[in-house]
Amino acid sequence: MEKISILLEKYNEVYNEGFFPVIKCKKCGYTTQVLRNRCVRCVSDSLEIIRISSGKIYSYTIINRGLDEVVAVVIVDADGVKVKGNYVGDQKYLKIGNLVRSTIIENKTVFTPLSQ
Amino acid sequence: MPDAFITGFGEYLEKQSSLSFFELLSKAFIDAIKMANIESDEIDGLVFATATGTIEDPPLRSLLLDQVANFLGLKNLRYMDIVDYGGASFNGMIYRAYRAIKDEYANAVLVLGGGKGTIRKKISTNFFTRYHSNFLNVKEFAPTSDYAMIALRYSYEYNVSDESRALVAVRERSNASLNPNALFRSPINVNDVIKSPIVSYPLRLLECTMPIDGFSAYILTSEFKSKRSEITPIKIQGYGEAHDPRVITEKENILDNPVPLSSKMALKRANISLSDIDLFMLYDAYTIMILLEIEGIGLAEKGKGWKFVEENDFSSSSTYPINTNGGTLNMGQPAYMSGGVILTEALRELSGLAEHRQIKGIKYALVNGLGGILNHSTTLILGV
Repeated sequence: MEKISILLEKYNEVYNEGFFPVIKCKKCGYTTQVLRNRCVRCVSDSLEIIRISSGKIYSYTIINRGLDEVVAVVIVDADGVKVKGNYVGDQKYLKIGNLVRSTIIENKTVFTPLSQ
Repeated sequence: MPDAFITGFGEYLEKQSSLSFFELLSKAFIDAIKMANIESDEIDGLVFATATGTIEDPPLRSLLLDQVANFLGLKNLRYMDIVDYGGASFNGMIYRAYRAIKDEYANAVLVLGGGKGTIRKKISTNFFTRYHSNFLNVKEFAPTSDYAMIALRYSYEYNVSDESRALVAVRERSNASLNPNALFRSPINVNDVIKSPIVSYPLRLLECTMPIDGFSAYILTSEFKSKRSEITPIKIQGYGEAHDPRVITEKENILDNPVPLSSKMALKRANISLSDIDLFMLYDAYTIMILLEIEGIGLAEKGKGWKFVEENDFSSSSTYPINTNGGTLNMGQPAYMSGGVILTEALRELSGLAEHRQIKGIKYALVNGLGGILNHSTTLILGV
């Protein structure tokens, strides 16, 4: 079993390459964005980190108050695994079902419209 | 087996208080013991809940339960407990106090919950993320932004307009106009809600509760001591709790919640049906919660909660009175937990102390608490 700190390093590596990291259980296939060192479905400790590069908007919000700037958050459905991330791009594009892809903007991995 | 009753309650709320965490809790405490008509020396149980960041620092949170007991001079405790699942904690605390008396560990239990909501620093990132500080690295405004995404998904799946959801805030405000202790009392319409500033789309300002300071206190006693109470002792008829701590991205559907489980369990234990309930006090930090609770409890089918709100006006004279005090949308939310404010109103109604909003002939009240991001649900059924 790998320590969480080692998994986190790999997780961050994927993130820093401009992808959203997701934990996938090699045994049962359960995928989740939540980093743990054991699969919560089958308790296997054989895990890999996979890259999520695109998906469909499952839900979103635009935060207008409470933060120092207007920020958009999306939950993206990427072949069954839900990934939460910030969204940068045209607000009019934010619609459930629209496709988004991951990219790096200002050193941060975010989602952006697939077509742009 | 001895029976246990709620025999006293106290609520002390301020929009922004100059009093300290401990001064605030003692205010609610004093009112509760006066109503129960017991001495602090008689209190042999303490159950407590608060929320991170709502206590001045120092004192530190370590040994907090000890500090609370010490401040109140409770030196005869035989039972102590902390309940820590957010806004759902209040019903959970009542049940634990009830069990402690039933199981003869204690005869008089103080239940206390609250804090200073206004001193907590703005939460910008990762409040509800787990295990390590940099996990996810999402800039968000939790819990509001998560509930906003839940509200949007609800509208999408059931083809519901923002106006339909906004009607929840209108109904609650209408009830608040009869409550002299509500912060917001002037009537509003759907358009006022829609035109209020967007906090986190699609949730508007009038759909979100406001953090305030304060505490709620409750006294539960054995049957013998309950006879001294100034109110008719209130019975715990049934209770259910259900927990699903997954973050919303781990749920198959982000609308999934444990309300059906906790409410079904509570009704079963109370051995009554929904139609016997005279008052529903539903957790309302955001309008969307009310729709999900109406559906989860079974007042409406899944996806039809908004229709129930169209057809029922929540008032104390209606068939299904809901949040007769105006809920925390209009009372404010002490320490990021609405559970005390809704529970206290249920007790007020059951004690005949609700003045202009009194439900005539009330016998049973159902209180539903929610915690986290639809992670925790507690349902308490009270009766007189």
